Amino acid sequence: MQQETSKPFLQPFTVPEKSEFDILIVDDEFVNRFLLKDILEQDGYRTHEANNGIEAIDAAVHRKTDLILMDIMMPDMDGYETCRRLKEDPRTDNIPVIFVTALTDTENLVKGFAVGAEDYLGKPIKEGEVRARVQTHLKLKAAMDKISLYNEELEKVVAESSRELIRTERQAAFGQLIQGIVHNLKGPLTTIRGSSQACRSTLKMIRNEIEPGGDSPLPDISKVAKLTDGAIKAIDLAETASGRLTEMINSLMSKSSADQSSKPERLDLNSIIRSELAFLEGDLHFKHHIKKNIDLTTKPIPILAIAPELAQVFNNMISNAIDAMHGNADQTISISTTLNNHYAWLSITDTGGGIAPENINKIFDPFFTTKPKHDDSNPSPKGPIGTGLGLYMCLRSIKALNGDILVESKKGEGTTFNIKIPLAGPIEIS
Amino acid sequence: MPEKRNYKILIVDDDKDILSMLEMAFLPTSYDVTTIDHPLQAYKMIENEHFDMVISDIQMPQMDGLTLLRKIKNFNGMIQVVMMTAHITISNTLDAFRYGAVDIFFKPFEDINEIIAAADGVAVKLNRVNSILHKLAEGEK
Ligand SMILES: Nc1ncnc2c1ncn2[C@@H]1O[C@H](COP(=O)(O)OP(=O)(O)OP(=O)(O)O)[C@@H](O)[C@H]1O
Ligand SMILES: [Mg+2]
Repeated sequence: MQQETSKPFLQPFTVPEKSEFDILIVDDEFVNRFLLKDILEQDGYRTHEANNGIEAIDAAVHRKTDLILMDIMMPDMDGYETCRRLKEDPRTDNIPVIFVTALTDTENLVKGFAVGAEDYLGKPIKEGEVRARVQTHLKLKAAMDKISLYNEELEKVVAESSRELIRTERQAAFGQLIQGIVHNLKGPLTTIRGSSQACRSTLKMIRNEIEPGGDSPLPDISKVAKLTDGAIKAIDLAETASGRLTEMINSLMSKSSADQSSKPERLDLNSIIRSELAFLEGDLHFKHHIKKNIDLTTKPIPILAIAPELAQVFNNMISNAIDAMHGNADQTISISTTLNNHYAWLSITDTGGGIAPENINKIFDPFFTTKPKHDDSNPSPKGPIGTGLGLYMCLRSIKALNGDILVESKKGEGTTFNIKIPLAGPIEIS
Repeated sequence: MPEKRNYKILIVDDDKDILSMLEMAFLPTSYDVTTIDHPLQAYKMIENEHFDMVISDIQMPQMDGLTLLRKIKNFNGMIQVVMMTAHITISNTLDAFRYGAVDIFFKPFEDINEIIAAADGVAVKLNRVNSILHKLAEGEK
């Protein structure tokens, strides 16, 4: 016994006893009904009867019915029409219908299948054939019933596991991002540390030079001047590098601190873009190889949003643009913000390869990607290449703000994403 | 202390701040230091001018420092190469030595003076080898 598990799909599948099945027999001729009823009841099934289409539908709706055996040629409503109606009604559409018919030519069989019948039995009926077909279909039906039961359970499991998948994929992507960021932090750190050490050595040398009673009787003024300039330069270097470091850390902090509070706040769209751009400068490819045309409104743009989510949207858009321009001679990203009625518009245009017309409706689908999956043969320091979740997440975040994302693209010329976000209150006149 | 001839050092890193910092650190020494922020240009310079030592980063966008190392060693095995990297991995380290680097330093550096000490070590080696080569050349005349 496998009773300890509550999950139905882990239980072995068993077909119920024949006496638990109810079969409806539909025929306008008593003799035909009698013949079938006799065979089936001897076999152990329960049966009920209808002598026309209307009655059959009524019986199928109101009585437990596991299988229908039906004549085709009946007055008023024939078998085809009856079957069609049964299959249209969600209360009866899963009951298998077997036609019992003398019309076994292709045309009629096709017609039967077209209205949704599962099978047919030729007339005159043969006992063995009736038993075999009925048993097959009841088994199938029992299995189907079980499956639809599993399905509800499965849907929950699938929904949960795909959510889990999205989470882990994103986490993997985030791990990559963290690595990239840490790598970027090391640059300025190397400068700061090295500069202070170099500065100390230089100062020691100056001290030696000017110390009375040192190696030389008189300090070499030009040497001292040169060393002093060097020390000052070292300190300047350390200072700029620590500024760079602070900027990176600040934008990291704003990312992670707001990760916890996920309530929309009043923000300035332009300053989010500016701080993200500053952050992206840490990416050497972005810094050196991408031309940027930035055209933001002079006034701040108040919107209600969650800062890290918005930053994420922006990052996704930019990394898609960078990917799309990979290897192109002209790599330009144009970023602009505009105001229109009660909306802020953020427009991001690239000069990349564009999106094929057959793909344009798919790009927001989860897991749709034209990029290779991330693997060892493709170690890219700038994060995931092609989980296909980027735009899906973007659209979700923007829709949550009651906004929308529109895309325009010409294959070979480039792509523009227009992101529309409702304004939060009036624009300050500053 | 070794007799420090004015050995020529080329320092390669795509981060200009780090280049300035290293230039600073070498200021009190007698080495003749040149810096360049692009590995491809670095290789051109090595082909066209004489350098005794190269100190190169590994992660650079235009060319991997390990590739630069191999090209340098292939071009002139006498040039001594010191690697530096922020990407501290076993494979980076093993590859650096496999391809003939004399040393490797990890960013941020423990102590910048270690790099100068490494250069001094290379200078001792070059002094010795050069003096032997010099004698050999004399004898051949
Ligand atoms: N700016 C663009 N230019 C051309 N094609 C694009 C652009 N942005 C998106 N696409 C297309 O849409 C697809 C889906 O984008 P999406 O951001 O959802 O996933 P992805 O970039 O492939 O993977 P990731 O999950 O890493 O973001 C991309 O694979 C690409 O084919
Ligand atoms: Mg993407």
